[in-house]
Amino acid sequence: MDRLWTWGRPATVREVVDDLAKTRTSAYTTVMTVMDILFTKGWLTREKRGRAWVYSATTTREQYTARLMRDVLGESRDRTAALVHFVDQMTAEEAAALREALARFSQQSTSQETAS
Amino acid sequence: MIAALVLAGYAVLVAAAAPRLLARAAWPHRAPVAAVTLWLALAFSFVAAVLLALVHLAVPIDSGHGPFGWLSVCGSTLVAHMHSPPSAAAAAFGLSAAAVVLARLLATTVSSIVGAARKRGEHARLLALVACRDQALGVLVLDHGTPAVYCLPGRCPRIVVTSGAMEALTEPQLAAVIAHERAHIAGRHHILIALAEAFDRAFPRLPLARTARAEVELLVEMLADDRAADRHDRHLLATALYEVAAGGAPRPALAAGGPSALARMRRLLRPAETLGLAGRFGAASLSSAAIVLPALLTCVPAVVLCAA
Repeated sequence: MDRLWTWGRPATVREVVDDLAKTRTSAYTTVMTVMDILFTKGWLTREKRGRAWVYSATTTREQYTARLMRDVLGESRDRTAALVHFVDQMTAEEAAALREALARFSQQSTSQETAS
Repeated sequence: MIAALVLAGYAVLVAAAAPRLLARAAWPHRAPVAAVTLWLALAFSFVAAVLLALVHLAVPIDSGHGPFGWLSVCGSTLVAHMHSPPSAAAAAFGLSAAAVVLARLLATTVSSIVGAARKRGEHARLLALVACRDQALGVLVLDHGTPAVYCLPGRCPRIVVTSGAMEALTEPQLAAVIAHERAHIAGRHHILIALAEAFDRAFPRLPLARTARAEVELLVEMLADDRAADRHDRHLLATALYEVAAGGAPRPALAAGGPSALARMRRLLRPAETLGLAGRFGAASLSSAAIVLPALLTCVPAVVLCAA
């Protein structure tokens, strides 16, 4: 998936295998099987060009990332214990209140330093 | 009959008064572990009281059988007693209502835990294809402008940081936030949250359920804050909290939300406060009392008879 998204164009199994070979050795048949599985799952589409299948991604990486982020950011009040955030997104008022709390704290600490 | 009324009264007390008292108290934020235990103990206490009250309608104990007397009544004697309850209708109502309550609670618990695991699995599968691994930090990085950090707890735990968060946070801030997430994973906090959620879904309009869920979620965050503060600066974590929370587009003001981040930040900006030994003992006693009280209350008729 990473290769197809980076290249932004359809590719054959051979091209993917050759590129993967730069970092690790994968058998042609392994990559072919994986790409076939991705096709069955709907991540890739393919068309025949000559003798080889040419695969392309059905959705962009950004779209999948956006879908993931909807899970993360959306419906925070209704969330289940599926994922545990560090902190929820704020409203503008809440953000202002946080900013104020931080500012007041640094004011206090600097005045303590000057006093002592 | 008396026992059923006493238990029902206790259940109402736990459901309505206890949450108000506990939510207003100051000590929970100083001892989050003890507080979470108490909230869950109160939830258990409520359920036990309701179930025992309903069972008492059907199987009244009119002799001094002791705290677990009604258990000894089980078996063949249960059938005999069932023929002489206050009324056949009360018996039928009591037992079937108890069964419904128990079934509902079991169903919501299972669905909360299983549902969370399923959603987590779906999310993780998508993540595996889309996110890149940062070997140095041991986290997954998601290419998105909005700063966010979260973890997928469970059997195969993962921590995810968006590229927006990587940019918004300094290295020490990032380390502190990751420590916070690791604390969630190590402490299996998702189970606590799932239990509170299951209780809330089983008894939707109960003040105890709503408050317990919100408080447990907040206390669990404070727990993780404390764990992270063991190794990282509290002020650093507080500023990181601000950067991540305020970094993205603001949420629409209509969406229901809590000022929990403000409470956490104020708490982090103060030096760490803990509860003394006396306080911890007190909290533990309350939790133990809450768990045991419903069983003790079932022997109220015996006590009354002895007194008379």
